[in-house]
Amino acid sequence: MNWLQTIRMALKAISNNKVRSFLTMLGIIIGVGAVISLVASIQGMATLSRLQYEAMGTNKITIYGNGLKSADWNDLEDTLSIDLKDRVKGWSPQRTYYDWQSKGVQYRSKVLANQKYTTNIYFGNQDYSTVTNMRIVSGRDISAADCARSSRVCIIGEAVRKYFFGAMSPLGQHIRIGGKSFEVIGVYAGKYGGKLNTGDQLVVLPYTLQPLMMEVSVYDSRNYIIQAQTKDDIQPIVDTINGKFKSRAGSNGYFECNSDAQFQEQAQASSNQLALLGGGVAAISLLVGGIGIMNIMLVSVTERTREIGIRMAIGARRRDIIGQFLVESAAVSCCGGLLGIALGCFGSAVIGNLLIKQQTAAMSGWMPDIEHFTVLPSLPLVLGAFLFSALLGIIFGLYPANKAAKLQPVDALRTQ
Amino acid sequence: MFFRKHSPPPPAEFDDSLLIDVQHLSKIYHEGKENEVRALDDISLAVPWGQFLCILGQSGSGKSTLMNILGCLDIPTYGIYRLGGQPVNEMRPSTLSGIRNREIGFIFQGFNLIPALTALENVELPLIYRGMPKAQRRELSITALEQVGLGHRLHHRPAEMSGGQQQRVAIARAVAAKPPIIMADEPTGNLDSASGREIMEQLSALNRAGTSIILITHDNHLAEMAERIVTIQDGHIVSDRPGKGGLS
Repeated sequence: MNWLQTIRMALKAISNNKVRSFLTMLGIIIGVGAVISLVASIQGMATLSRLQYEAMGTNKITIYGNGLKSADWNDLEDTLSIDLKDRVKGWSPQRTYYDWQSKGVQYRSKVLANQKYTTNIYFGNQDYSTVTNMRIVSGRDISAADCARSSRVCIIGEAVRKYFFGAMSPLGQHIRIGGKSFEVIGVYAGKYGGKLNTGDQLVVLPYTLQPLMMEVSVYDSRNYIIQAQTKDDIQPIVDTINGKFKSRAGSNGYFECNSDAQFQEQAQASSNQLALLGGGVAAISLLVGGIGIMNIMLVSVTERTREIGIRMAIGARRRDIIGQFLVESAAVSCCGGLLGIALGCFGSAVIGNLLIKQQTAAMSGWMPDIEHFTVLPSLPLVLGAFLFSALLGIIFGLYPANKAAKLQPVDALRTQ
Repeated sequence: MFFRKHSPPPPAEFDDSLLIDVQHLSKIYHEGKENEVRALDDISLAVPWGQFLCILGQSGSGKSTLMNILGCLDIPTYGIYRLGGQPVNEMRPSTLSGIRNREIGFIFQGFNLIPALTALENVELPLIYRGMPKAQRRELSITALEQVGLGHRLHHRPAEMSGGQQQRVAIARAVAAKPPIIMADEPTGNLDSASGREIMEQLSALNRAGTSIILITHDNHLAEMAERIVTIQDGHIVSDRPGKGGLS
């Protein structure tokens, strides 16, 4: 007797008892479905927050400080550019321009008024785009020369471009911010759908234009953003900067250099734990499903004792009988597993997309483009769930199958 | 492990001295207890190859127990049983399965067909366990069913057939692979007399073709069709005489 015959026989036995087989499978279906949709949703959420994090630039380090002398800040910039040259991919000062007069950004007669839409206006240097993971789609980036000469140029975000220029080329046009005029030299690719009131509504100016735009005092706090070459460079940079400059802030000042990479790692780790926990809880229902299979297989052995006797009388060996019942229970649980996978894919698509919608609403404006992001279970998860359910069928089928095979042919035949 | 593609157990190496050689065979249930039952008590019997033997006895005489032991479906409590010269007592369960599969064809009073399978599938089942390729076993099974006059009922399930037809399916199952021994336990017990006669004629024909037949019955009239009649009562052999089948 070969595999194919055994499987064919098992499928026949299952289809002879459709309702019962389906009810038996139900435990596995729900179990596998629950494991898959839970784990996939949690993994999906984790992926989502990682994407969100990466959209803002990877390997990012921030420096915030006040109370340092100009010489110290110059020293800091030198440290980043010279001492840490091999570890730092790029760095830029970052300062937000606050439009106190609420004039908004203007192009000719069009105004992006602050009352309705807040335009994020930043000062940065030639590395700013790199460090914040923004890509220029047309025109050019701010250059070192622009910073050195305090050129009155700017890069605009996709939302600003759309609002002011539509189909027209924005390059070479002048927009007005705080009453001053700036030439548009480049446009950033949209990262948040190119919509107003998102991260795409921004303007970046060379940082040397700060004194032109607002009063800058030596006491002002300063921000820097740094991109490390690799993940491993993050900690050495943070340690070097903190070690060198923290003490210079003075008793009234403050200085801190830190990275959110570790928080990100922690978040990832805790979401993995959550997935494990959720999957574990759902796996209990799988176990219950497995016990259901064992129960039904025991009933089936009892019901079919006579059939077992007949089979033995005409030459079935113990291994044939064991094989028959094992394959039968494995087939039930595999069918259940397959249906459960379908349920799990459906469930994770529904639950996952609900969660994403919620998350997107909560993160309004700072959610990167995720149009092609649907929560679907990963292949290892699906394969794992399937193999686990097959294993369940075999484990919980072993006892009934063994019970059947141990029957004496004559005793089995005597049963009515 | 559990599956090998064609894994018939090694056939027992039968010799041609005696088909059945039973010495001092006993089957005792609940031995040593108050409810001890001696179903068979010190039976000795020798059957040569090719014989049409009838074991005759009233119900409760132990004749079915004897057939179960002779058919390797049950194990004796005491005594030696040699089938074709081989000691059955010492055989492993898988070897016994192999003997039941290849050497013995069973016909039971209750037909013992598997209800979920069609006539053809029932007949094919022993051949499947033997590991016979599909085309060959299909051919053998259809031939066997045609021989018992059921060529037109291949795809009917037992419940869709009359008792006589079911018993003929069982016969087809027993003879499809042409085993050297047929054991029939009250094969006509559940049938009307016409169907019963038909079954008996088929058994006689098989015997004429060289098959050894062991028929178990309580029916004196039926027993006379055999070559030799062994009568059992309360677990003992009380007579051993030739039947009319042997004389004619």
